[in-house]
Amino acid sequence: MATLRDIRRHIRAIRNIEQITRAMQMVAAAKMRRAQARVTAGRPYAVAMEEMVADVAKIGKEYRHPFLVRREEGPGVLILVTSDRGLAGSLNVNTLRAAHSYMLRNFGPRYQVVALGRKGWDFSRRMQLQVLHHRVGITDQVSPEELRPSVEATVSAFLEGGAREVVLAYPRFRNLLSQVPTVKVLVPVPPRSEAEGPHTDGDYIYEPDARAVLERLMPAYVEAEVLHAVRELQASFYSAQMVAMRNASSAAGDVIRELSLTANKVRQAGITRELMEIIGGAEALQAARR
Amino acid sequence: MAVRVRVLASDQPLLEGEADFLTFRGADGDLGVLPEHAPLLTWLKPGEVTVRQGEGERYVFLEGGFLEVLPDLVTVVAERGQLSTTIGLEPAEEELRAAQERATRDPESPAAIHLLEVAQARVAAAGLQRRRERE
Repeated sequence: MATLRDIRRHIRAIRNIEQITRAMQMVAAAKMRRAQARVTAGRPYAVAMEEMVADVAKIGKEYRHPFLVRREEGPGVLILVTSDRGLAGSLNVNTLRAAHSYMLRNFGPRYQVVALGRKGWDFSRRMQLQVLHHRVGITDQVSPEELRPSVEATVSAFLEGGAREVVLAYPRFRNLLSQVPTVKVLVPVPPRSEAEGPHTDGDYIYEPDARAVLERLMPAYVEAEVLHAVRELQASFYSAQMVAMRNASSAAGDVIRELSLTANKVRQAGITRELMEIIGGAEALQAARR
Repeated sequence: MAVRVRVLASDQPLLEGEADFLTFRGADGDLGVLPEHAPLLTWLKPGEVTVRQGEGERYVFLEGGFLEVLPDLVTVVAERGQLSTTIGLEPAEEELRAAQERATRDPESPAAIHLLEVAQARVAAAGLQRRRERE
C-alpha cells in the first residue's frame, strides 16, 4: 500500500510532465501553423513542375533525357523524408513502413537510400541499407540551396550509378489529424495519360535546344519534389507532435485525477483510523473510570 | 482570345490569370507569346515576365526558372521570384554591390556569377518599375 507521501510525490512528478507536454503542444501548434502556410503556398509550384515534366515525358521526342527512359536493371533509390526528432506519434513509423514495403517488393532488401531526417537515417542503418547520402538538421524555412547536395546525390545515383528508379517517401499533410504516408516514383518520370496534358503530335520548340533544357529541367524537378516533400513533412510533423502532446497532456490529467482520488481516500482512511483510535481510547478511559 | 497563365515560385504562387500576350527572357533572348502558340519549352534568364491582358500589364521578376507554352496554358516556374511592384531599388542596389564584391573575390564560381546576374537583373527591373510608376 502506497503511503500518502508517495502518492503526492507521484502526482507532482506527473504534473511536471504535463507542464512540459503542454508547452510542447503549444510550441508545436505555433510551428504547425507556419509550416502549414508554407506547404500550402508551395504546393502549386511542385504540382506545376510535376505536370511540366510529365508533359515532356508525353510529347517530347527530340531528346529523351535518361529520366524519361525506363530501365530494366539497376538498384532502387529511396529518398526517405522523416523528422529528426520523435514524440510525434506514429508519423515516422508509418512513412518508414510504407516506403520499406514498396522498396522490398520492387528491389529486395538491398536498396539504396538518401536519408533526409534522422529517423530515416537511423532506420536505414539498422536495416543495413546502403546510405548514399544523409542530411539532418534541415531548418524550418527550408531553402532549395539547403537541399542541393541531397538532390545532387540522388541525380548522380541515377545518371552515373545506374539506378533503375528513384522513389520519394514522405508523410503528406492533409490536415491536423491526418498525415498520409506517401510513396511515389520520381524517376523515370511517369508520363501523362492519353486524356491528360497536351494534345498534340508535335514536339516542343526548345530553347536553346532540347538537351540543354532538359538537362537543367530534370534536376530542378527532383529538387522541387524534394523541397516540397520536406515542407509536407514539417507540417505533418508539427501536427502529429501537437496531437501527440495534447493526448499526453490529457492522459496526464486523467492520471492526476485518479491519483488525487486515491490520495484523498488514503488520507480519509488515515483520518478515520485516527478518529477510531481516539474514540477507542476515550471509551477505554471512560470504562476504566467506571 | 486569351491564354491561361500561371507564374509560380517555390514558396508562393505569384500570378494566375489570363493573358493576351506575354514576354519573357528566354534562353536565346527575349520572346513574346500569343495565345495558340506552338508548344515551347525554355529556361529563363533572370528578369521580368510581362503579362498583358486588355489594357493592363503585370510584371513579375524571376531569378531564373522554366517556362512551358502549351496552346491553352503557359506555366512559369522559378525557385525565387517576386512581383515587380515589391522590388525596392535600394535593397536591389545593395544586393548588386555584395554580388559584385563576391564575383571579384571569386570570379570562377558559377554561383557567384549567377548571383551577379540575378542582382543586375533585379536592379534593372527595379529601374523599369520606377519608370512605370512615374508614368
